[in-house]
Amino acid sequence: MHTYIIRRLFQILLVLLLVSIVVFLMVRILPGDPILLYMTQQNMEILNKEQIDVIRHDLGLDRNLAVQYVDWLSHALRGDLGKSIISRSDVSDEIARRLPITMYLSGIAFIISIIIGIPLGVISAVRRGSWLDNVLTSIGNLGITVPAFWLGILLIYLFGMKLNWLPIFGFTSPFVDFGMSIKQTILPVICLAVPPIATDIRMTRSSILEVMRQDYIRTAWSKGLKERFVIIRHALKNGLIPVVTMKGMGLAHIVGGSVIVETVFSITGMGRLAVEGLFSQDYTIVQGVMLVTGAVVLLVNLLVDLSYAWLDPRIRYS
Amino acid sequence: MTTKLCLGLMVILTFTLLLVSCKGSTPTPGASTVQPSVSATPTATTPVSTSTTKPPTTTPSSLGTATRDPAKYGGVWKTTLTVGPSTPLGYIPEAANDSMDLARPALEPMFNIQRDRTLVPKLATSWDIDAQAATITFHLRKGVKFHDGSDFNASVVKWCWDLIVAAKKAPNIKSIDVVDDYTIRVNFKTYQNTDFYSFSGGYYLVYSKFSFDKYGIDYTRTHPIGTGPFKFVEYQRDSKLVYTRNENYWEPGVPYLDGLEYYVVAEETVRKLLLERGDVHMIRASVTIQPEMIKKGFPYLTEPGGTWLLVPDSANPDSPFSNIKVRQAVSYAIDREALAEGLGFGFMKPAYYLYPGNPLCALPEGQYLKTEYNPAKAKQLLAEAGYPNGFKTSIHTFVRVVNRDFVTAIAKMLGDVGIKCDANFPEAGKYEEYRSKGWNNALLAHAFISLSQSAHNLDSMYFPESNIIFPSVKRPERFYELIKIAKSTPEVDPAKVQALYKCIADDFMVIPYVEESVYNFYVKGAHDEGGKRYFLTAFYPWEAWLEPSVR
Repeated sequence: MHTYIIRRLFQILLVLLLVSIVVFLMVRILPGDPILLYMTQQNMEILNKEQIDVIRHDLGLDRNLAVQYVDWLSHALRGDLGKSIISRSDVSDEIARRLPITMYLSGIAFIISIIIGIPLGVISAVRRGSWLDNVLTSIGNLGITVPAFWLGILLIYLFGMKLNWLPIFGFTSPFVDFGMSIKQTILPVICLAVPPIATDIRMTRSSILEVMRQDYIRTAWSKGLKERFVIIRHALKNGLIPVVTMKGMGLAHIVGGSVIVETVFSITGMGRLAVEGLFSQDYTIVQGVMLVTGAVVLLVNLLVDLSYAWLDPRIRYS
Repeated sequence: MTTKLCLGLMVILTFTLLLVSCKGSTPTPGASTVQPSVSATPTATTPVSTSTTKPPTTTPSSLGTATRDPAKYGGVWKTTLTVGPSTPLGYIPEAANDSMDLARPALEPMFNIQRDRTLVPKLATSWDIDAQAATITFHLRKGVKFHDGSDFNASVVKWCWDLIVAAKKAPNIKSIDVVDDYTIRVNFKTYQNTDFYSFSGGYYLVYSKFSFDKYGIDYTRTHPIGTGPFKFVEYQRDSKLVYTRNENYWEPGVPYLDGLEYYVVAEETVRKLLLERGDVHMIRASVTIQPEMIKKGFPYLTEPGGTWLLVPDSANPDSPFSNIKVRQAVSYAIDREALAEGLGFGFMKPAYYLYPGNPLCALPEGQYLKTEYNPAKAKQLLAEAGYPNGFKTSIHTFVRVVNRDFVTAIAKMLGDVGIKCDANFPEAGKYEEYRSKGWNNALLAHAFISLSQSAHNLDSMYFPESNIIFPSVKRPERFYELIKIAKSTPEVDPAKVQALYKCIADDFMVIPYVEESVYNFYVKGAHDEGGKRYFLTAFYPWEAWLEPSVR
């Protein structure tokens, strides 16, 4: 097991290296020049080629691409992800400030989706064909189709405007003001959790139904075991393997979906940073965000893979 | 064997990464190399030259000490921003216009300009303009302190402005002299009346050298330490910007407010809801929600804003737009009234030339070719230009600059006269590429922001002689000459500015279609006194106050 983990960690390093190279190149292939984007926010009278060359040199963007990459990588390995081209702020500081917010919201949405989605999926599978199954399946379909943006505005309007129960923007750390933090977290977390809950319901239902058809389940029934015992003890663990795989990928989707939610609710998370960095072609921001996000996703996938061994004792890693 | 190979690769990879991470340190890209000058001693010994021109109309600061209503004091003014300041707030050589506007509560200029062109002294109590010698001498206010307690004087001002010159952001400044502790003289290469108005803000905001020396450039970037009525508290990027009242502000009795809070709220629906809930006191509204906000009875202030226009690639000899008759045809094909009424909801006005709402640029009827909607005339002009069957072209716009619906509507209108348009909405990078490197056989749908007093500063704002922006636009023959003439008069001469704008209009250098209006909406009980006198593009908070019910 330890060997497996170490091997996987090295693979993660390799993948991150490849990701960093691809992102580095792709963001420079995009049309547009970040220096011009930066400069055209200033007064145009200083816009001449000489001045642009000075800025480009100042930012190190006139060097050979390979030199730029190696320099960036050498700093990144020491925790320095460079400075934003536009705002000149430290990228590492920006990410350090925003990553916990995104992971906090994504994490809560992730946990809620597991707590709600999987049990509902099991119920839907066990009560297949009943009115309960129909309702839950419909909820699942609705949750998948509803756009997060629309849902966010709707929730803001209902709970923030009409009922005036909850704040409609911003984020407060739970360590600063726990009560306000909870209030500000409710609506964005609902928006983030609804799609994975819907997916979980459908996936779990499908997976449990598949497992329920197995011979050993029939054996369990014929032994006279109680329904709860059959489901939880025998069906659930095996039925969860595809669900767990999907949850691993689902976390990446939640983190990606946070872009829209963070924009609607004006939360300063990684998603907004990535989008703003991309729009302004702020190379260092985009590279830093992609590196960190990639690392998080890969580590989560590793945890997902390791969880298989717990779910299915037949699976052993060497 | 495979295992050994994998292990070997892992070792090599680890070694390589270690080697790379231990590479000698190099300057981190992004670190500014502009260093302030250390000089702190006055260098000028010559007496101030005699003014040969009367300074523009001034007024003492309108907030005298006579009457200060105690009921006005208190409360924190809250407002929203669509996006946070994109560039450093406090280190002005690296700041863009939006950052400078947001730093104004803390950083002050020499004077402010009101909408009626009255000048209000701020850090300068008076000034002498010598057009012949090409100098401006500012007499600075005494007894002013920065928020960090250090003294405001001519040496600090020189240091601030020397940085601007060193960053090549003031190409017309030759040198800056400290005449004495409270007198500073700026020497220009040539006299331009637009230069004087620059000192009302922008690059000439003054900030503390003491803090810069003590804490460094990175701190200064994120901490605007000035002399203003509000002190900087914190800025969380893309989240909020907070100021608190400066208890030691040099002007007695102000500000009224205890503080300012700007919240970055990207979504306009949310901004509107925040105002309706009373969570904020002021929002800037786009044309899509202006009717609703007025209908709901929110108090507001408004002023003419920028002009939305089409920019043709007239410099490209192969392009149909190089023919003035084609440009005229495009102008005749656009139903401006329909756009202003239908898509502008009546809050926009038709624009037949640039900045019709700016008195400096206003062209009297009959002084320009007013191309009112006339598709038949458009077709006739196209036929005369050699395009009886029209032609194919494109319109490019960046949707954050111009509303997509306008472009779609214009494309339809042009299609009706035979100019078949593809409406494209590239991302910022691609659009910037068009704007800086040129575009072929196409129109750019752009918006020119209002230039107020510096309407003749077009070579600085949009059409530099270096051609590095809008290179595909052919400048009319006398364009730069007329700009120079308009800038050379001791005071801004509206006739000279209008001559420039007539030249632009006659040549159809750009094809305006609507003028937007800037609307600020407020909750009842929030009084933006500064907004009634100054331009709405920036918030002048030292005159704002809140009734107790909304504090």
